[in-house]
This record gives sequence, structure tokens and C-alpha cells, in this order.
Amino acid sequence: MDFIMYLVLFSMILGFVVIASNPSPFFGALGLVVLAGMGCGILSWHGGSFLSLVLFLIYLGGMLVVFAYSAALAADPFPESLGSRWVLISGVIYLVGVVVVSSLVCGDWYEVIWVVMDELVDFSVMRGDMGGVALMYSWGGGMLILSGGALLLTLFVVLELTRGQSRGALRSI
Amino acid sequence: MTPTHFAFSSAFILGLTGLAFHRSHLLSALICLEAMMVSLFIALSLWTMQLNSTNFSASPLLLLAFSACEASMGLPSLVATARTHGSDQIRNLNLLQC
Amino acid sequence: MILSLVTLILHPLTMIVPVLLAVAFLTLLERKTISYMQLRKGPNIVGPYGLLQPIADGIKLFIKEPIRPSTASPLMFILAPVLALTLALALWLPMPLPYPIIDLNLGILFVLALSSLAVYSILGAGWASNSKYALIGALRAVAQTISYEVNLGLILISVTIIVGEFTLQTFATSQESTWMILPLWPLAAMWFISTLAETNRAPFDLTEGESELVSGFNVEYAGGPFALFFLAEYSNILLMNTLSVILFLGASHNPALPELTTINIMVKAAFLSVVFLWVRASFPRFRYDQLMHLTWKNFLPLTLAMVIWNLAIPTAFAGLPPQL
Repeated sequence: MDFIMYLVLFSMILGFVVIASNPSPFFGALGLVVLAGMGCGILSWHGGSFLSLVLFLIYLGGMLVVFAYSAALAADPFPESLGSRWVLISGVIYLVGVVVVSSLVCGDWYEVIWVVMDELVDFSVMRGDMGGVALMYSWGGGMLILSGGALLLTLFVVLELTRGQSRGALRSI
Repeated sequence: MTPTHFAFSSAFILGLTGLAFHRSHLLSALICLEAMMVSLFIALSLWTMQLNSTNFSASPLLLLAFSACEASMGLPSLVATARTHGSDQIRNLNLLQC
Repeated sequence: MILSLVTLILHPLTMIVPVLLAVAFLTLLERKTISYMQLRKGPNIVGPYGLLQPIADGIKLFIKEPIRPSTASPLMFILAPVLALTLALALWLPMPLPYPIIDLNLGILFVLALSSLAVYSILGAGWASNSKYALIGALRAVAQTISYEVNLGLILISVTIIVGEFTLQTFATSQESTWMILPLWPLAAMWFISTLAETNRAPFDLTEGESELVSGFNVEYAGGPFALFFLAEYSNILLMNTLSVILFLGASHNPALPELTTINIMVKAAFLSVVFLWVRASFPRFRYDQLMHLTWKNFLPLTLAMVIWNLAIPTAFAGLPPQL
């Protein structure tokens, strides 16, 4: 099964290469979708099923849709797809760079580390990550309130950025 | 260093280089930022999972909340620049008039 | 090796084949129901009472030429319908009918995550076919779907607070004494309307309004790829109804007779699907801003308030579900 893990890791790197090689935004959003999906695969492989599902829900379900949606706003008349010259060249350069660096460090790679998080396997009913996340509501109170405040602040900032009837960012045509 | 650690750290660096070099659209830059946040999320969750320190598995969630803030700040500014400058090309932002 | 391969192939097939058959006959049921409501006969030539009509339609669709527009983005254009059908079938995997194909602890989160992924197939189809109608239809569909998904997620949170776990089998256990629709009827009503909107059904089928937007995001599709979209859409309708049954009209599971549970769930799901068809035959289409107002200004505050209510009441009366 290590093979599948290597495949997932490689696909994640490939998704990053797609993003970094500067194609049109729509393809970039697609690469982001791929790498977030692969990230979920990595996390669930390591036993963090709740965290991976949360990543899936928030990133893929929520934010990336909006990114792909606004790709319609940034449309090019001639989109640079993954096959166009500069995208291909820089993508190949990034990929070669990753392979070279990995061959440099792979001498002292520490192979078997797919640790699955399960403390107290016989007694615990919940997975570790789920219980840990639930701790946010008791011990992580300060951070919880801080991040809630940050989200509220973001709401007001977004409202302020897009305010205005005729000169604001969101207006009826 | 394990293959997984190598994967997410090189992924972070790839996102960073992508953000630093040749960006044509503002949206692409935002996408690169988001990709870096994904790799950070993966790194934080792998940290809690491999060290079996389950108490810290709330920290990737908090990171996710802040990256949601960042995304929702970036997209309205994208819409605003597209409205004021006509397109979201980063070149256009250097023009002195709008 | 051979044995495990056979089971790995056969187990999903035992789910996929009945789902596809059900989808085929759902299309026939839809045409028949609507035609009788409009005082017509509906399909009645092919086979007795038109029973072979869906098979004939399927064969026709799959032997038609799949058109590929010359300006379309070739890879995305083919991948989008494949993704749609794959997701629609993968959504059935964690469904407890009463035994799921894959038994997940976080089943309901999995369903929510996969159904939110279905947006990408719509967006990809609209973007890749490089046509204005398709793009506008896709943008409308995506905006509608993600707006109603927020709602669905909040309703699910309310129900899970009452039930106490994300596992889908627990919903059946916790509804042994009473259906969840009785204590949570406002949420159930909102859930039903949101599933109507989520599956892009009438009266929320603005994405494929014939008069405005020829057929929405799948204008450019013909033949096989269109059939994939069609199957995905109807499979999603059946899935959403099954999910509503599991959430709100739970069927109690008798381990001695699991078939009874399956029949129970599926009869209720078929009933809800007929209600979908009835709604389609009776209601005029919404206007787009009314659609958005309905979810963001009516449903969202209500569901948020209900989340707090459903959190506060069990805590106050010490009636929290067992956390196991």
C-alpha cells in the first residue's frame, strides 16, 4: 500500500507544479482542487479522517468553488492551458528541480513512517483527531474566540470592500 | 526526513516560488497563497498525528479559519480591482491612473 | 487475489446496477406522472404502458454521435460528465440500506463533502464547452448549489446534535421511538426545499430554464456525455430522497429481517420522489433573486437559530445523546 501513498504524494506535488507554472486561473484552480484532494488522501492515510474531511469540506466544498467561480471574472481571450509553451517549460523546470532535490536528500530517508494515530486502541471509541478537535471548545477557548472575531472582522472588511451602490465593487449593471 | 515531510515542504516552496515569479493574474497569486495554506494545513495535521499529540489537532482547524479569512479578503479585492482597473492583470495595478 | 478482485468489483456493482435501473424507471415515472397531470397519456408505445421507454431512450442516447465543439477544451469537456456520474454513484456507498458498502464513522460528513464536489462537474462542463449560454448556466447552477449547500450543512448539524454522531446508522437507531420529522418539522421542511434546490429541480431549475438559457450548462453536450449528466442528475435526486428518509423518516432496523428495512427506506424514498415530481408539475419557476433571497435571508437565519435551539434544549434538559 506504500505505493498508493507515494502516488498520492507525487500527485500532490504535481498539483503544486500546475499552480506554480502560471497557467490561466481556471487551470490553476483545477490544480488547487487536485492538490487539496490529494492532501485529504494523505491525511486520511495517516489516520486523521476528521481533519481530512474538514479540509475536503471547507477547501473543496467552500473556498475553491468560489475561486473557480471567480475564474470567470479573470477570463483570458486566449487561455494559457497546461500545454502552452511557457507553462510547460516552467512546469518541467519545477518538476526537475523537485526530483533533483529529492534525490539529494533521499539518501537518509527514513522510510516507514505511515503512523496511524490511535492511542488507546482498545479503549477509545473516537478517533484521536476528532477528540482533539473537540478539545478546541473547552481548552482552546481563547483561540476559538479570537478566530471567531477574526472571521467577524473579515465579514465587515468584505462588506466595506464591496459597499456602494454605483461605485462599489458589486453593483447592478 | 520522510517522503511525506519532503512532499509538503517542497510543496510549500513550490507555492512560494510560484507566487514570487511570473504571476500574470491577481487570481493566480491568490491561488498560490491558498496552495501554501493547504500545505501548511497538511504539515500541522501531520505533526499532530505523527507525534500522537491529539490535543493539538485543533490547531490546523484554527489555521483553516484564518486561511478562510484570507481567501475571503482576497476575492473581494479581486472583484474590486477588476471593477476599477478593468481586468485583474497584475501589470495593470502598476499603472498610475485607474 | 482473484477472489478479492471479484469482491472489489462485485460489491460496487450490486449498488450501481440497481441505482441505474431505478434512475431509468424514475425518468419513466416522471414522464408518466407529469403527463397524467396534464391530461396526456405519456409514453405508451414502447412495451406495455411504455415500460421499455427508458431502455430505448438509453440506447438511443448512447448510440448517438457525441458532438465535440471545435472550440471546447477537449479534456475538461469529457472529464466533467464522467466526474458527475462517478460522484453521483460514489455518494451511494455510505448509505445504510441498512448495511452500507463502505462503513464510515463520519458518513454524513462524507456525503456532504462528496455532494459539494459535484459542483466542479457543473463548473467544468460550463467552462469547457466555451459557449456563453453554457457558462452563464453553469455560473447560475454553481451559485445556487453552493448557497443551498450552506443550508443543508447547517440542517445536518442540527440533526447530528440531536442524534449525537456522524455515523449514518445511528440515525436509524435514534429514530426508533419517533421520526425526526415530528420534533424537527421546520428543519425537515427546509431540508426538503433545499434538496429540491440542490438537485436543480423545478421550481428551482433556473439553470436550465428553456426560454432564457437554452438548457443550461449542458447545451453543448449530446449523446453519451449528455446521458452521463442525465443519469447523474436523477441519481442525485434519488440519493437526496434516500438521505431525507434516513435523516427524518428513519426506518428501524431489525437485524433478523434487514430486507424489511430496505423496503421501508425505499418505499419512503419513492414517495418523496413522487412529491418531487408533483412539485415539478404544480409550481411555476422562481425568479433568480427570489431564489437567493429565500436561502440567504429566510432559510439561513432560521437554520442558524434552530442550531442554537437544538443545542440549547438538550443541554438544558440534560438530554444530550450518548457520546458513543
